[in-house]
Amino acid sequence: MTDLLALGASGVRAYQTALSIVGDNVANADTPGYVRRAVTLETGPGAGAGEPLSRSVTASSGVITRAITRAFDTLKAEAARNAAGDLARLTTRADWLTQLQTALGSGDASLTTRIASFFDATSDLAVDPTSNTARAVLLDRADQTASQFRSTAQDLDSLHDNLARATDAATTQVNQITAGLDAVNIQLRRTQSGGSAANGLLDTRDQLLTKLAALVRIAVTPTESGAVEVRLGDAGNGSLLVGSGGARRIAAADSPSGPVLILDPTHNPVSVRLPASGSLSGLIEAQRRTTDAQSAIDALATRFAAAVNTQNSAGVDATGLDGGALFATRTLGVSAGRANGGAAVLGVSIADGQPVDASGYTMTFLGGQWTLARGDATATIAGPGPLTLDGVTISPSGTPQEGDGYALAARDGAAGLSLRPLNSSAIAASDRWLTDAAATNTGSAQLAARVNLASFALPPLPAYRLTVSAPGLVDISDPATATSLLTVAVGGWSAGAGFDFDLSGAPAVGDSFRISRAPPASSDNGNLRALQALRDAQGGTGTLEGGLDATVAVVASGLAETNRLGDAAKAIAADAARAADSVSGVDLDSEAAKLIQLQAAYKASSQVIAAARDLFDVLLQAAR
Amino acid sequence: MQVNTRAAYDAATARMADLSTQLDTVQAQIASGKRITSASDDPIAAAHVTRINRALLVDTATGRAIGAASSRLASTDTVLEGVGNLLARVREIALSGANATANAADRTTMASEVAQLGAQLLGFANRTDSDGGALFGGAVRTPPAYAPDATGAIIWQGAGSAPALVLDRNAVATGVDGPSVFAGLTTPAGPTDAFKLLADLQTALGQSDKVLRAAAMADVQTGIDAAIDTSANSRASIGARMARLDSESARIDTAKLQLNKDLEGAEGLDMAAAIARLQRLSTVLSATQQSFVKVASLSLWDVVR
Repeated sequence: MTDLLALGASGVRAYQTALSIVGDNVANADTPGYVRRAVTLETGPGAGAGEPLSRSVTASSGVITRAITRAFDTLKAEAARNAAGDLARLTTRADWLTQLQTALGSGDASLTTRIASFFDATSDLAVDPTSNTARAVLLDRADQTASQFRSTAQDLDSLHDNLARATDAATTQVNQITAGLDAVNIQLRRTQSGGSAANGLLDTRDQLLTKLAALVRIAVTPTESGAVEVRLGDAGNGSLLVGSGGARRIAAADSPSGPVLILDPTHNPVSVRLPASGSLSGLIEAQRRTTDAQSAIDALATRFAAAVNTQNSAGVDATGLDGGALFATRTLGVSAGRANGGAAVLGVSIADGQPVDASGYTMTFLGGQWTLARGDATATIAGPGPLTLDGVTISPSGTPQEGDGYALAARDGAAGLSLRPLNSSAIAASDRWLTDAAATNTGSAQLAARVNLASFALPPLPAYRLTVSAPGLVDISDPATATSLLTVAVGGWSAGAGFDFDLSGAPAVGDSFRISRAPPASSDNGNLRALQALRDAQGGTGTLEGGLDATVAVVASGLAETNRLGDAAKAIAADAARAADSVSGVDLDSEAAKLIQLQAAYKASSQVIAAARDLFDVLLQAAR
Repeated sequence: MQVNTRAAYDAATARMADLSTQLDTVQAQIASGKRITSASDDPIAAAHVTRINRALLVDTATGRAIGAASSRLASTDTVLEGVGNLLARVREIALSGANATANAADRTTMASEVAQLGAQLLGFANRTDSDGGALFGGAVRTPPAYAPDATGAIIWQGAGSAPALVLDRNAVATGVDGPSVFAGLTTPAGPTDAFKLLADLQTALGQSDKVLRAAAMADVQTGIDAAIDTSANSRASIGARMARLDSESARIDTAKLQLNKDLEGAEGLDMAAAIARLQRLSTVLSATQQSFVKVASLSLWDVVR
């Protein structure tokens, strides 16, 4: 009877544990990472050990709680983890590529629109090259194009910075997780498995692994104690992140081919190939795309500015002077030294038309005064106040501290593009040299002239007269004095003075032609037509606008592809998560059913105790 | 297999969120009337749309340029019509002046009319367009295109040729320069221009010697015939250019129509289909919501006491 009591008591104990596990499961039904617990009950060991006066060991031994197990499927959990990592990579990439697409602009605020309206304005001015309104509009469009290039560069720069920061944050997170995993590993090695403490640790371990896999693809090898070995990548031969020796740190670093992942950056830096899964790889991929877009936009800006500047310099402006560059192509970006202790602020102004040095400048506060030096240290100037070197004026304000330094890096490309402070007469619409033929000419020859600054076969004059003196020979004279200057053969380009000329066709003897320098307010539009033709000029990446379209299209199709892959990865991740969850997750209905069942068993066990007591009472009364 | 309660709820909310996103997209498409709201929606069509929009802008700018060029050519045409009429009158005077019946007094009257016509011709040659630029100065728009030099001879002040409009890579001059209208006249006495011709006529009318006068008048008449030809030719060439611009303008209008149609095809939204889809999505969403509420209300916990 004491056995019966013991049996009942063992049942009550076991079902109490089982009920508390159900309670635990229900309470954690909504806890992410919680793995459903189950109780394994087992027939208890014999109450005695075959002593002569005790009962047989086989008769009854009650029930014991053998273990509290976690309903966990390692393979399914790994599949879910990896699928979630794949999805994280694509969603991260899509997020940043969307920002990249936005930074490249659309509609009225896009470079495409600005460049198109610049060229449209050249066509408006070409019809009426002396119109001040059309000139002012063209100059304004040039300004807008330059400022759109700058703001696009700025947007791309800040996107790039944000990406770099996000990448740093992600590597920091990876390092924290691996450190956490290492700590869990250490505790798991000390803890007996099967207990609730061990189960809690295993939950933490699996949660950390899930978080880590969302950042980078990992390969996990569990050991007997539940401690895990974590490697980077798919295969078992990936770089070890967490092992028995502890956790190794990672960091992202810039390289010429884009950002790369460095293992153990502080002690033994090794560059590792980043597996294509997890948000970290999404970040690095987006960063590469951003860098590509930046260099494409920079190349386009440089090409646009160079083409427009060269063409404008070939013509004659509204005042009759040689045209010059419309755009300045270099600016300076100020960055304060990391160790600066003061609060000085530098104002930078660059004088128009000055050759800013490509090596940049440095500004340092030493010995109570400022020193401005070229980046390559070929020139230096020192003093207390605003300093000027190469037309660059740096005006410090605020209080510096001894030893403070500032770097002024030369920025070319899109960020450096700006319209020079010009008025609308600076647009060189006219060809520099105009040609006309005498109305009395009987031949069919045509005279063409083009700018060539290296030509100096003739003395510089405002106009030249060309007369066909004999078949195949043309005499060049000064129309003012009728002095003959030179005789050349007809056909092919001949050198003049700052120009070449070509008399083609069939001239008749006695035909005369004139080459004259375009006067002020010339309504010739030859140079503008050449400027317009730049729109269709083929460069390395097709036309200017074609190159821009291609840059936008590359990002757009990358994003579209990412979105498509993301949709597929989303479905796969959802399936894998469902498969893992169906093992590990809590189903409230089954828990309710189990609760009812265990309640009944508990009640029954208590009834066994009650019955044993009754029997005991009966026996005691009989003995009285 | 058991159903994980949390996962089941998550999946249901994810399904509803997905439907809401789709609804939102369709709504944005309907509101803008465009199928493509960002380049990544359809990169190829988006690039096509960019090209079409650019071509539309180019056509619009070319249309504006053609308008301005046509207006300048029309002004030139009007002036040349006046020049033609003037030269016809000069021809009449030259004929009557050469007639033996005209006496000295008649010729003096004629000479003074020729002087007036000469001034008028200079006026024509110095006409400006609506923006005040000389019509016949070639590349030099600053008036006047013709001015007398120290000897009183009328000299062209221009240089080069009138600004050209580029159509399909061909340059169409938007005007004529003075010399091709007024100069390049060949007479037995040598090359001359219209201004010199009128001055010569005036001198010839004043010539008292009959033989010399007849010879001079004959020269002048040849010159005037040449001048009438030249100005008529210039007018014909301007007429041809205006016709070219008209046909180009018509072509641009057609091209713009086609481009707009292409644009509609590339980024336009099939409104009926989009509205039907909106309807379908909202029906599915509300059905999902209702079934979710129904399923969620089933619970064994109601019977646990």
